[in-house]
Amino acid sequence: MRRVLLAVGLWLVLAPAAQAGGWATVTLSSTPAGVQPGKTWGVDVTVLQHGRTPLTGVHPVVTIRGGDTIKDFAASPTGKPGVYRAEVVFPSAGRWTYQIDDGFISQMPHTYPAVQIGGPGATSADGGGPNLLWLIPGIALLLAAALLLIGPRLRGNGRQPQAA
Amino acid sequence: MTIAAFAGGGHAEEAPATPAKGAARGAEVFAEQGCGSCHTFAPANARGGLGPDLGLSLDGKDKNYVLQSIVDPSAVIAPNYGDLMPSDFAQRIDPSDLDPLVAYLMKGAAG
Repeated sequence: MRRVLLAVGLWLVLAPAAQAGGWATVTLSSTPAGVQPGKTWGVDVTVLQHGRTPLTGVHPVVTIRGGDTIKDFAASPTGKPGVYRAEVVFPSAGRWTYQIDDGFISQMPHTYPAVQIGGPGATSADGGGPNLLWLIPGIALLLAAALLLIGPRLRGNGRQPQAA
Repeated sequence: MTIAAFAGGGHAEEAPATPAKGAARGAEVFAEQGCGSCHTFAPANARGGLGPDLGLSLDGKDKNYVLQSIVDPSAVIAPNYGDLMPSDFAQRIDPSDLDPLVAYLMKGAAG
């Protein structure tokens, strides 16, 4: 019963807003796919009323969630109508979700698929090949070990005494 | 008019580099263009409620239909929905991103 009342309440709040034109779309200049932990994902968030008209004077917020961590990043106006800039930092590697409150109708956040930040397979959760960058340190270590082993032998060969 | 240019122009016939890469780019285009602001689409974790659930409305549809629904959305209006979708996605979306987006939608709708 409480759920029904809640649903009716939500409908009463949201439906008139939507029918009265109270909705906006959000487009992004990029997604966080490939962003490393601690690095900034600078994203332009464009808020368009009815998907058409740039909305000025709103305050979009990007919210990221990973495990128990929730962080909000307010987007600032860029000077271009309807375009706001957010500087988002995923603090650690792992699977993160993100969503955007367009600042116009806050009850309807814009949701996106989870992304893997950092580590193996740091790409969009929806595809792409694995990120093999993590192999580079391992390969460098192997090369260094090989040089340590082979280096003295090479030097030894170069110093063989000449025949008398 | 627009759809004639796109459907007849062969965009949907040009194969992306690889299907996996194409679908990954398609997911990015979906997010970047804000499709989820209005549409529910489970693979994208999108919960928009203004337009139809794309997993349902595009299920079983062919490539040209999906492409048409993007670049000329007024051509076919889903039952119980209004003609609200902006008609300028053909201009907004880079032509090279249309195939990946179509592939992503078709794959997701079939799943």
